[in-house]
Amino acid sequence: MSDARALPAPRAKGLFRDAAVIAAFDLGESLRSRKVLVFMVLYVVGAIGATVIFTEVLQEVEIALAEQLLVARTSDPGSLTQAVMESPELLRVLSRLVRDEALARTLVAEPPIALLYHWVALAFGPIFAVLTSSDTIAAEVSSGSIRFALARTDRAGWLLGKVLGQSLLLVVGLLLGAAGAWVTGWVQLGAFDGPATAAALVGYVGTSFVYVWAHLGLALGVSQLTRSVPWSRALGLLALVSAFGIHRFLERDWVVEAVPVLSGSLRQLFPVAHRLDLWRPGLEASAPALLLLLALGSTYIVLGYLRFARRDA
Amino acid sequence: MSAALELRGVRKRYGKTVALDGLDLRVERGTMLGLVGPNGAGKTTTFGVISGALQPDEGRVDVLGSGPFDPRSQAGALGLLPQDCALNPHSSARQLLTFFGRLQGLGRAEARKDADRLLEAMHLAERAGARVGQLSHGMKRRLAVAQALVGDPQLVLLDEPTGGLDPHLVVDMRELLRAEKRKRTMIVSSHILSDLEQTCDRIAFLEKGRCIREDAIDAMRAATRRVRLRFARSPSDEAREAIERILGPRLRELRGSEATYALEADEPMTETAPRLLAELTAAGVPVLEVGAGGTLEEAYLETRERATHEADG
Repeated sequence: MSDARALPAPRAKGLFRDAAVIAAFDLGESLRSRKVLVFMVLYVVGAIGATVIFTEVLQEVEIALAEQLLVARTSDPGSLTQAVMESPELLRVLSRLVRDEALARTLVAEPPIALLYHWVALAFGPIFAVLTSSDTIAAEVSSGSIRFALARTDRAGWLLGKVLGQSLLLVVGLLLGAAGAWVTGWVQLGAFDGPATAAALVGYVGTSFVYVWAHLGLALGVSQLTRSVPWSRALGLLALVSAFGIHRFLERDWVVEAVPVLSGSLRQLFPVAHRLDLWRPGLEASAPALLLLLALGSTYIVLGYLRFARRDA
Repeated sequence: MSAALELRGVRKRYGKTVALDGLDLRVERGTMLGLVGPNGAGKTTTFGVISGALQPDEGRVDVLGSGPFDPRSQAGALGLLPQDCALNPHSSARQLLTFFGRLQGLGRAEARKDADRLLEAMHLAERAGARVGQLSHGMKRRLAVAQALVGDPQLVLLDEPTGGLDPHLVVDMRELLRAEKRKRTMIVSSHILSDLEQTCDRIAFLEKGRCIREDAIDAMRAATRRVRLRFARSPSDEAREAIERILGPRLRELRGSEATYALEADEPMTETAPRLLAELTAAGVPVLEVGAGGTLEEAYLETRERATHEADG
């Protein structure tokens, strides 16, 4: 055919450019979806609710402490915060949370709302990640919408874009939760150190993100194994529960006594094994755990990709 | 210059089902090829293999002379309308086309401009800001066709582009495909042979995962051993009687202002065509044109019959 076009010049297009384009689109699609919005609202409401309960507990402890110290009862929670934080009761609660008394003693200097939010993010962030992301790849394969994209980019670029998009979604969720906790603290506490709490929250959002990201890796790894949306959701939740369950099993005294090296090594494969280290103040202290969590999340994604790269889309 | 597409001995199985059974197909650049076959003939699988969504079990795939399609090194070269695939529902029509344009390698402004051009061409400009999930089935189909043309790809694969469209939109779509056909190589699958007949240059018949015939439409029609008669207007009852009498039992079809006459096995076209013209004119039937060949539908049915006959032995 004489009027067929000559080949146009190849367009500049690399893996990371495609991934960035897909990530931006994926984030937009996710934020407009009802499912993600519901889970995000639940997460933020949960963070706010936990902060409200915490400030009320704080007030109760303050009242008790004021009575012990023979000072006037306070109706303004937070005015005796430092005293409360250093009280044996709170220290005991904190020690139980981080399972390390020495670490608890260093944490009492941190803004209490930031500490609470860190706990909320580490406890509920993985569930948020799995609920929002475990079907994200399976849904596109199942509906066939992936085929529109795979005519334009390869699977590695597409997956990298999805990982980035879901990671950004996670950042949005964690930041909104932190903002909710900060505003609640500001409203509820009389002596609320806003700038110090905000700075501490930003740091804790960073460490929680890495911990939750390892679970996001688990969810995205599982989502690549099946094209069925219900199955991918079920597998995501199963993987999350199994990760905690197996780790808890490996921690049992009789298992540790029977196979100390094996149980210790196997525990490292689960993100929860590195949670405690994320409480340590200072980046140098938590850096090894952060790196291990990033490696674990990446490994889960790559393991899923080994299947995804070979299957029909 | 190499062909736009060449498939050699391509096989693809889904478990025990053979979808492609040594498919050979060559499409020259600038051609608009119609792909015809019954359900399960392998049309959709062929598109999947060409676009890289499906991995062939055997055989050679050469897209635009560069081997199997690689969306990175052949960025922007392929446009695909897959069958029964849902577009991402939460973005607007414009956002979706812009996203696909970006993945084709276009810059942001360029992609946006191309999206608006295609929305206009598909009569979707008024709904450009509406979420894809809120569009009607016909609108989604037009949007899906539009995305295949984003970024001016050299090779476009359209699987059932008119499926589910209202009749007046089918006409619009046919016009659009006609306008696009000289700009690029296009492969279109459809069950509506009259659509293909009006838009395509060549046709390939697929049967049980093999190409049983591929030729120019005119050549296919001519090879049907039919004489095609076109009248100046729809025949009156009197003229209809005359036509039926003169053409006798060899009259295959009399529809609107056209009729077809099936030649006997040894009946020469060069004698029969002038004879029919003379007899019909003498009977007062206003014959406008006498030509060799039947419809594409007849060519298809004859080819299938012959293929079945050969397969039976």
